Amino acid sequence: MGVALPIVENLITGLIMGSFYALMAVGLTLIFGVMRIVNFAHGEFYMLGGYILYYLVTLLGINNFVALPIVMGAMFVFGMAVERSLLRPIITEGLGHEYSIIITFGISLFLVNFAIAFFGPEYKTPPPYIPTYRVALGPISISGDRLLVATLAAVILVLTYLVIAKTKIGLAMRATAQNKEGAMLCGMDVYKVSMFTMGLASALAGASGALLSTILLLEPQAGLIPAIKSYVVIALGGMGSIAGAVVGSVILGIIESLGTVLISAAYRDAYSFLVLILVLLIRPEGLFGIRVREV
Amino acid sequence: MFRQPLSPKGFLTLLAIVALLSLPFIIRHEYWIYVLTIGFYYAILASTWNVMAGYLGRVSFAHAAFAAIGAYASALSVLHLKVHPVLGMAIGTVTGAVFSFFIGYLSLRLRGVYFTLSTLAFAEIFRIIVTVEYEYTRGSLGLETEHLIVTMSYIPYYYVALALLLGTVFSTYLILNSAFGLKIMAVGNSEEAAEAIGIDSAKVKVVTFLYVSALTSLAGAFYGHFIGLVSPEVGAFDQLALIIAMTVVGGMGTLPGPVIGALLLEFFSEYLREFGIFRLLIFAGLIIVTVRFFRRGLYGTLKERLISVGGSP
Repeated sequence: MGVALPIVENLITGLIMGSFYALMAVGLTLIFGVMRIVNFAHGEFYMLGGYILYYLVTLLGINNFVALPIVMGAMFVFGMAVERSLLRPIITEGLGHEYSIIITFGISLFLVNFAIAFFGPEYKTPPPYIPTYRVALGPISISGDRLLVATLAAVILVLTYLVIAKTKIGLAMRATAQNKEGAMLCGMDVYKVSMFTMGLASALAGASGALLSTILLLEPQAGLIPAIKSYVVIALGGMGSIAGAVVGSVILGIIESLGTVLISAAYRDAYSFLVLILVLLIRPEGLFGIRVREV
Repeated sequence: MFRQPLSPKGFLTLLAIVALLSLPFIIRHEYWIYVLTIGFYYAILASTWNVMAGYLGRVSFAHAAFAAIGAYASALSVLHLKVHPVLGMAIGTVTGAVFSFFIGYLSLRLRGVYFTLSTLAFAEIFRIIVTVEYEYTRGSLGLETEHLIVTMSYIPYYYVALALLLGTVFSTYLILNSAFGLKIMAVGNSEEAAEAIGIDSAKVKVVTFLYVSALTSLAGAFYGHFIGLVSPEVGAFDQLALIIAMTVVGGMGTLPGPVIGALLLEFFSEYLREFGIFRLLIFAGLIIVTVRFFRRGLYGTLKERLISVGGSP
């Protein structure tokens, strides 16, 4: 019992963390699936989402639950604008992955330093969704706001799934992910699909920031660690696979939480790297991935 | 690309070298000698990053981390093994090469973006280790280390840095113009096509990454013994951002581009020191605008313009 209880507690923490990683990772994997690029500014979309929530709640006095959809809407528009202005040449000129990596890195750097210059480098704490209290599950107690925020994340994930599985634009996204040329031949507007994908992914990252920053702290570089973890998650789950992103997130969340109790807490953020090495060694295409040959 | 008649190009190169060699006699101000020395350090890092991103087509996010690996390996061996900084720098170089071999071997077999992700994760774990293991590294306070040369002036360092830079640029020039250089560019253009004509692309990528990382670690080790302090800052994200901005603005995929970009942005950076926090914001803007609208950078764009004015292709 002495060891078992913290392990169970940490398993639950791992599951909760996993649901946040999933919000980020699903967006990343959608972008990768549809546009074949990795968005290195994803962490900064998270950070922006956190700041928008913070200012909506503290300056305008809007309730967190009302502010969350506003954050997602704003980030949706922002993501579409980024695609239209900066990522479009990837499709129109067929540029290689160096372009997409460097331009999204530039966007990331710009947003971090924009936040430092205009929001200030100090830590901010957005007010929680509900007052902190502990929920007792038998002998284990977990904090109620974490549980609520994880539930909200799960709801957003289910809604996202419905958009992709049941709507016309979701169908176009899946078609584009499978075969871009084929989708174009069938009359799908690949530009519009890319723009929508970027908007959706950016809204998800923003939601993740708006949720998680009430638990963790908010600062201009707050997005870096969640972003690195979601890169590991999509490599683990298989790039472009939505199921992989969700399962990978949960696995990473659990590995980290167990590593914290069983090995060392100081290296909490480093376990993801070990996971990445193992994935690269054992199954480079990821859990749900298929080996893709690029021509 | 390098097959044009040597005369104007060779002449300009020679002129630039003579100018750099004689600068300490012209600029009598120690401060600017210091700025130039730091500029040379960045020029080495930008030139080597450019070999990966501009020629091999692989973007490394661990470039600053490799400079830090070289710096720490050298500083720690000088501290504990009591070796001379020169030997320390050699140890730093070898350490960087060993690390790069493992990372390259693991991730370069896969598609391009896996390599970038691996380097990002590696850079981050390196930063965490250095910060957490403060008994050995003194954490974010930084590790004090011996100076390479006992001198009151920056001029000896200036020449060491210049020698390292010229060595880097010329060895890169020789490699890119060799058969191996053609393989690098073939893999950079299309890995599938390169494989199809019998190039062992995995080997080309691993060897190139090893070469690049060894030189980067050497530069980092030099930087540590120049400043006299090695801190996690050497491998920080900001440093990586600077290196990328310098390469992209100067001209990615060209040999002089990164050097020009590094010296230009280092001066700009000193000039902007009073603007502090806006410095990186401006550099990020430069990266975005250059990559989006002037993909060949300053050098590439100028060269294109000059050629089109001259009328010869």
